[in-house]
Amino acid sequence: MLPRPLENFKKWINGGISRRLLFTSIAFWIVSLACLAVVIFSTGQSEIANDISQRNVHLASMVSRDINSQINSFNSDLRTFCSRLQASSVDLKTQAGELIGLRLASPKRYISIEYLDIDDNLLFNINDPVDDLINISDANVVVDRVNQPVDPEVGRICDLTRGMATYISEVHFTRLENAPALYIGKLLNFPTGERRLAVFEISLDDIWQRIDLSTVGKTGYTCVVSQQGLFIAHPDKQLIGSEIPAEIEPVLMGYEGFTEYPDKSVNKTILAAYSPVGGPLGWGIIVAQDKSEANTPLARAGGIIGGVWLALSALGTVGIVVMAKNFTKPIATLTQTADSIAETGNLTKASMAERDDEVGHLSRAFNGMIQKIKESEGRVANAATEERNRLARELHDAVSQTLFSASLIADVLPRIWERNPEEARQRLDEIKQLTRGALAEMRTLLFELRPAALADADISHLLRQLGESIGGRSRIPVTVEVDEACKLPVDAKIGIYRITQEALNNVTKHSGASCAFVSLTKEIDKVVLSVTDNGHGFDTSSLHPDSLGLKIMRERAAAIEARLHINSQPGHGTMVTAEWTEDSGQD
Amino acid sequence: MKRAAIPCIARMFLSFIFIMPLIAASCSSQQKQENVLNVGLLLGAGGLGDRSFNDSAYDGLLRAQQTYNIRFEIADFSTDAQSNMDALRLWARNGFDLIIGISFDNLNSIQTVAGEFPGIKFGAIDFELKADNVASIVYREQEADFLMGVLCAMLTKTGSVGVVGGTDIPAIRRIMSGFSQGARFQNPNINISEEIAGSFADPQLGYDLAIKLYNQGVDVIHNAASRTGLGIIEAAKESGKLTTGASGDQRYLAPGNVVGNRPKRVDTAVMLLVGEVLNGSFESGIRSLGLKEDGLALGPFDSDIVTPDILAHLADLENRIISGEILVQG
Repeated sequence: MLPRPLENFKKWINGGISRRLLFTSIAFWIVSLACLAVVIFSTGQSEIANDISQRNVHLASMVSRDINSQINSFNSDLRTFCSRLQASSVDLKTQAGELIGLRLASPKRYISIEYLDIDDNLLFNINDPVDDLINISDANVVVDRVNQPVDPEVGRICDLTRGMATYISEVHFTRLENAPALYIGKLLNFPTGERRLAVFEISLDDIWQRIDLSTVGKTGYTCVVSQQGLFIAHPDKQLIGSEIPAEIEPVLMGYEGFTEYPDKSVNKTILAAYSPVGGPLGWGIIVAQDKSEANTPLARAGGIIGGVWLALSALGTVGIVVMAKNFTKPIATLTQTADSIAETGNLTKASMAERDDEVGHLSRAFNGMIQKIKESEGRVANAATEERNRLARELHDAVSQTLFSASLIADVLPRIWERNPEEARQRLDEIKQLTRGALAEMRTLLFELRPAALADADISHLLRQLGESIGGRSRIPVTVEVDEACKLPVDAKIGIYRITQEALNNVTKHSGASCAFVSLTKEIDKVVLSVTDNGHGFDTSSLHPDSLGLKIMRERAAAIEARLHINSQPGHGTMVTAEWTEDSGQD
Repeated sequence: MKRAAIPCIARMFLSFIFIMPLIAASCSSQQKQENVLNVGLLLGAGGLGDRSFNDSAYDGLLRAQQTYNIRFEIADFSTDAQSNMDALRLWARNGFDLIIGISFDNLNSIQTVAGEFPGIKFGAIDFELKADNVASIVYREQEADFLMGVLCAMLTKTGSVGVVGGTDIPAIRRIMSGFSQGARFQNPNINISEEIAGSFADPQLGYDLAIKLYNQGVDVIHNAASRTGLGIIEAAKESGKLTTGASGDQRYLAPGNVVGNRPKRVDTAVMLLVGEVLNGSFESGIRSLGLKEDGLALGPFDSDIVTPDILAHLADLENRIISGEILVQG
């Protein structure tokens, strides 16, 4: 499924716990760093853009409040001044004197002042350079000037002022200096009933300069838009008079807020904060900033966070590897110990048993196991010795005794033969009996040495041999009758054999019988073993359950689920029967 | 099991990666806007710097600017009514969201211009004006002046107190009535002299009146005469008697002779009106603000003259007025 190198890599990874841990931890660092990056660059970016926008809104709000209060002061100053004009003498010289004073008081603010009668005829204007004005000794100089034609723009302002008493114009740029300015027209109502018009051209240079100075960051700048939705102050002079993007039009409706819009000319996204100036002008202040600037602090913070993260993750990985080594090394040692035990058979104990952790537990368990193996190994060796001793005893007690008897008879046989051939023949029969018994006994012993042979032998053969071996040793003739139809599974066969062996042992040891009879008969669904003797019998009620090898017989019978009966009466012999039912052994 | 665990973790992280930007996108909006109100305020006589009525109104505008982010313009009161109306019309023509005139002086100007611009919302503070587009807010001065009456009755040693009003207008009548009720509440046998100066702006008039009263045995004068009251303070300083300040804190003019004042909270009214316009709950008609609505304040007082015991007594009475237990007639 996977390409070969990847398959190999996977195999390598799965080859050790520390490799897996290493791989998992590195994968974890990579994935979490990726997550972190995603979070920083998605959430963080918009959050910072939001923050910058909010800050710019505050800046725009500050600038617009400032401009609002300045325009307000232009307006209220002129209101106060015109009250004064109306209160002073209506004659032109006095009026001109007041107006010259006004211009001289704030020469930068009032660029020019036009003074007209109610029918738009220019009575005089004051637009002289300040130095010239200072030297004017008599206001009549101004008043006596040759009448000039009224500027059409001023004429328009006059028309509007007549209806409104106070009119504030939009921004215009002066012809010579291209400086921003606006007109304020005032209708003068004199107590005498006379009505005149004064149009003040007010410089906005001061405000515009401050707008130009109000920059944010590397790309942020401030601009002013008019009620008509045109830029009237912008650091890029080319854009003055052009329409504002639709996204920031809410400022014209008196909303403060922020938005973003694509600036196609420079192919950038602009974050724009806006705030209305309010007052009679309806201007708006825009603070615009390149959105990419929002990423700068982010990239810096992201770099630092990423670096620290990487360093920490490297440290973490090293820690994990060290821990894994610490963890897998004892396991490797245990494995080595087990390997060397498997190879050499030397039962050495593991060395980290003093540790308190799981590895310590494992080592102690391992050592416990080794201890147990050592102990049972000793027992096995012991058992083998015991078994050898037992066999030696058996051979001595049975076979060697029998053969000794046979050899004694054979020694005297020649002399008997000479004296009484008839008796000699009897003795020869006896020898034959003894050697046959010894042979059978040898074979029985061989079965003990090699129990597997029991499984292969036929039950009738086994029982006959048993009879011969017992009969040979004890000189009690044992008759064996086996129904050839008896077919027994291996377990049952061995069980029947063992029960017979024990019963015959009892006959020879305790019964005092002169003959014994063994029969194995087949009934409809069961096989019945019976071992009978003509000995002195006993009272079954006084029988101790553990005595006379009865326990062994019971156990054997129980193992093959056969029913064991012992019938005996003092003076009438004993009969042991075992009934084995065919299905019972097959569960 | 173990082998399956690694992809499981990886899957979890992958889903995180996909979910995070969605969460981020839903959290942030790249657009926000709020309405900025344009408010015009026509001041009363005295103008800014009066440490009183007009300054309190300006405070209200500054607070409203902080709280509601408004733009505001103010126009000084001019004795030329035409000029005041011009200022109001300029704002109304430019669609200001709220135009407020404070003090009785501006009643006619507001009434005229509010009639010309039915679509514009006007506020009339400290004078009654009924129109569909005017919210008029007046003060139950008598409530605070009741307490001033109590205070003066407690301070007098001669058992004789006086009250000097500027001109005979309803607000001054309420002040004098409240003062008398309070003084009698404290001391039913007190001797009260009531005087109307006839002007709010003539300190000399105030001085003459005060000297007259002090000579008659009055030793505490309640001053409700605005700039005319400056003369009363001067007289108190000269004769070593006591007077209250007009609505501003005027203790600095004659330390030891000026007890303190009970300013009208014009700022509360301004904030109230701006908040209502912003919430769209602007309500025309006449409403009154008293102690309960934080429309009037007591103090600050000269702490050498007004002891904590007196203050506690006043605070107790104030609570009884707020709860309606004591009803002060207007």
